[in-house]
Amino acid sequence: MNGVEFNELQRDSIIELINLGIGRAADALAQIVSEEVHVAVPSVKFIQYKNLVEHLREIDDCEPSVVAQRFSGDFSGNALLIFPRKSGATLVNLMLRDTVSDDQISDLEEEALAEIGNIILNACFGLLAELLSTQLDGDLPTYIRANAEKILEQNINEINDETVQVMLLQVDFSLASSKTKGFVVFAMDVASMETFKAKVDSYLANIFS
Amino acid sequence: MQTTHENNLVLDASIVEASIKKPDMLQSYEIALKAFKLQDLGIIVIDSAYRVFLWNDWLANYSGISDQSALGKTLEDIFPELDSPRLSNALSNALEKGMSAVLSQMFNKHPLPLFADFSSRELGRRMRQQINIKPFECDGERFALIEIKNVTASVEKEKILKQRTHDMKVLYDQNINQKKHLQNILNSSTDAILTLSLEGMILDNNYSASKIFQAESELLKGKSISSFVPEYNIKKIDDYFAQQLFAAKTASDHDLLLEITSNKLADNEQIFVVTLRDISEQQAMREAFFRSERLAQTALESIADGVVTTNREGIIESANPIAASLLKRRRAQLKGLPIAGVFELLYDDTLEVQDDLVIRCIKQAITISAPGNSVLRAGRNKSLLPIMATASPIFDERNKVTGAVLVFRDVKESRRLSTKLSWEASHDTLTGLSNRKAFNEELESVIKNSRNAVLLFLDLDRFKLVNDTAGHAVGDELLKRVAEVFTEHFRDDDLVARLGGDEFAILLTDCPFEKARELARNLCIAIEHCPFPWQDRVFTVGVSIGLTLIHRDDKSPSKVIERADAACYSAKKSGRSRVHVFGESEEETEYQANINRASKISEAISNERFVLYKQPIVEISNKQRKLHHYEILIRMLGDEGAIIPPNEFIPAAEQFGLMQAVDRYVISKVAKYIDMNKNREQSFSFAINLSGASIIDEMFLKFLDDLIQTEGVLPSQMHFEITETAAISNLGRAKKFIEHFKELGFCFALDDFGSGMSSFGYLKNLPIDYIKIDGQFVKEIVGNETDFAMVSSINYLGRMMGLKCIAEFVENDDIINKLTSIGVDFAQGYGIEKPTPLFEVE
Repeated sequence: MNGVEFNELQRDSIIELINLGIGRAADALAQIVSEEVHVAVPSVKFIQYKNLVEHLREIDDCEPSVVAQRFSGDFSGNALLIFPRKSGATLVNLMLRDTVSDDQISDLEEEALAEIGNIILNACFGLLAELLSTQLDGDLPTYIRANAEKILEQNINEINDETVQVMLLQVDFSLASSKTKGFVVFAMDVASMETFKAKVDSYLANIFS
Repeated sequence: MQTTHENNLVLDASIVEASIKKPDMLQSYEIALKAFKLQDLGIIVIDSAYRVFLWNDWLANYSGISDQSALGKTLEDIFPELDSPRLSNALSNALEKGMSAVLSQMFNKHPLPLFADFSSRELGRRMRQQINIKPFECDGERFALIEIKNVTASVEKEKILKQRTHDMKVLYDQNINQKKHLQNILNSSTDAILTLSLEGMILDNNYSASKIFQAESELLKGKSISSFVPEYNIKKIDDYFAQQLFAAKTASDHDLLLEITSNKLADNEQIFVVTLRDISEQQAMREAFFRSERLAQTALESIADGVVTTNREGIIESANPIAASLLKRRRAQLKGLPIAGVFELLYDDTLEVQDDLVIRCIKQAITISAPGNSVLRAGRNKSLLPIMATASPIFDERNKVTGAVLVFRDVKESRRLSTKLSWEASHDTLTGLSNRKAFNEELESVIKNSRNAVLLFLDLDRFKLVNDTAGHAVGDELLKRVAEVFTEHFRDDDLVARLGGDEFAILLTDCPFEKARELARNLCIAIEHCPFPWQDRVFTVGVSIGLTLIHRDDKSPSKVIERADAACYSAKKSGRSRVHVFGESEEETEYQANINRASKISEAISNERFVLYKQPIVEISNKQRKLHHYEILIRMLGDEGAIIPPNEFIPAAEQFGLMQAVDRYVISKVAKYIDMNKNREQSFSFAINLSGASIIDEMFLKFLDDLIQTEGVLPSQMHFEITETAAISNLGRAKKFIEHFKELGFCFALDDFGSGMSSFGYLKNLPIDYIKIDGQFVKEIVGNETDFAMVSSINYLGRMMGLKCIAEFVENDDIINKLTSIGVDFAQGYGIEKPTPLFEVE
């Protein structure tokens, strides 16, 4: 079963929405680091949650840095911001102008990454809620460092639903002269995904009416 | 939202009232409140109107603001200095949108003005904070819970941790580097290095150890050393630096010879360091060396050459038996003596002592051989022995000379043989006189060095009679006797040779010609009066002698011998037992005269004793007789200023190869003249005669080429005349010469045309511009019809071929009229103008 299908128009508008949100996040990040930050989401993909592992493997064969944040409202689920381990360290380095080696992310640095994730995800939620005329509450972010399988397992257990579907968004960060890449994942069960789709449709209907 | 004060968790009357109504709730509420208050982190609850709803003790403690003062106020009211848009945003996000937020201490070090203690407050050092903001709803109203964690300690701890980690890393890197460094040192040693436990177990090893024992490091470790070196016993090592040789085996069972140095590290360290050096190869080499040395020694003892070795100072270190015997000393005696004292070389002819061979060889560091005529003076009686000797330097590995080897040999016998051989090669074995070969060589050297000499060619008269009647043996005896007479009559320096049969030759150097003639006459008489008795008969023979002077122009021995032979023939013809001098017959006289003239010409060339004349050549086709060009004529200055005309010296110059020099002289002078007059308004052209010898010579061509180049001679200023005979003698070369200069623009005239017999055919082949009609015809043109016909036909032919004709020897106007009548273009001669000197003042 392929889960909820999204057509091209829907996908395009999701990218547009997320980019608007991410744009806000970039502004927030820029304020923190007092430097221009560009964040862009060039693509969106819908896949089964269980196939996420392969995608994560593509990013990094060992342990990616993950910030997870639950959201709830008309549609609910788990949002993950995933960086390849190196990118996570790079991001902290870029943000803090510090030297952190990739196998040496400390607690405080994990918190910092959590904040970055929090800002980005909150921005996405805020915008989605605003433009899709709904309410989304965001939980506190948690930083997870584990391999792809573990993350999957952990989240599956939490959601405990094989029908969970994933909206996978690639996120490109560029800061000063450096660039790094990560992913934003929204994991939702079928019901939530359907609601989400319906919200997108009514948003579209609103625009074209 | 101004009316929410009653909701504040201050124990006001309404709450107390409510709690009375619901005693259980009140109790749990109080417990919760207490718990909140006592939390070890800051807790603030903000209501939807952004006012503080709850403010716990922790906050009161670190902010210095009591809950009483904080409640009901906004954070901005409480902390006017608050400046954290991030905190404000996060708070409004929580209250308005329900979003939680994390404010990590890394990005937000201390959003709230909280201080750990009084002194921090004094110093303005805020507490490091980490803040979580969580929205929650209660009775339809949204609140935000702010949790503030004091992470100052964590930050400090992490700072220290990071520093430590960094320090550790540096240390670790250093350690690794040192270890690598040490390992590199150990591994680069060609000696095997092992560390051993007291039991002799290998603890560690370097790369060379693996190599020597042919075993991987891992295989060596843990094994006992005795499994490789069975005799080695660590317990027996009492000396700290004991060094011993041991037989050993590799892992693959190959035999080794090891030199082992054992060293106990220190008393308290129970480790031995053992250094093993594989000397198997060294040992093998040493044995091979001894073997080869013994071999060399044996060879030296039995060799036929004397061999002596010396050190760098030339002191003898060893000598083989032959050397001792040749040097007439005992071997033991030689050792330690300076070589110079015992090995003295002389030149066998002068007996001059040579520079010391060995010392020279050591100084120059090269192999030196003694000259072929060396003799050794040795022994008590200083006897001389012809020897051949060679000294070679001995080098060490760094190419420094450490001594020398002297090899020498007795060559008495071989030198005697070679002397004999060389004598036989140059002598007539019968008479002991020089042979033809030696004579030719000597004659050649006399010619080459232009020495004054007279050659006598001798032929015995009536010798055939002796040979025929008495036999060859008697003839040989007679030849020997005659040779003796010849030798007696001449000085040692004179060379007497038998050329073969009964022909002899004598070369008298530095002998005046008349003296030579007298000696020859005396010899004739002496032979006549030398009876040769044989059995009952007495033979007398005579000798005919031809004489010739060897002069500077002689080029080859054969020509000289030819002349002497010719003279000898004349002597025989005129009646035997006579002396005849070459040149005393008619044809010989002219030859001699030319020799004399040639030497005069040579002198004139070197002393510039020539005068140049110019004679105009004019156009006769018009009445003005316009000057066309001059011909340059040459005269030689004789003794006392006499002017010698060309016909008196040119033939001799031609015969003795002096024409080129004359031509060069003339050309150079004319070129100089042209240069001197280059600024004159009118410029003339000069025709110069070139000899046959010049135009066929490549060198002359080059000379003329260079001269034209360097002096800048123009074709309009110079042209050349060559004689018909000169051109014909080597047509190919002449043509090449003419073509070369014609290409540069120079003109050529063919001189004396008509004097040669085959003239017409050649005209076609030579690219000339003018024909000069031979004066012999022109002179008689008026009276002699044949000559007139000749001149007109030459002129006609010339015109046909597009050539201009010049008539020579034009002596009067009648001739000119005749010439103009047939259309000759130019004329030259006394009838027009006599030659005048080229240079005004000579």
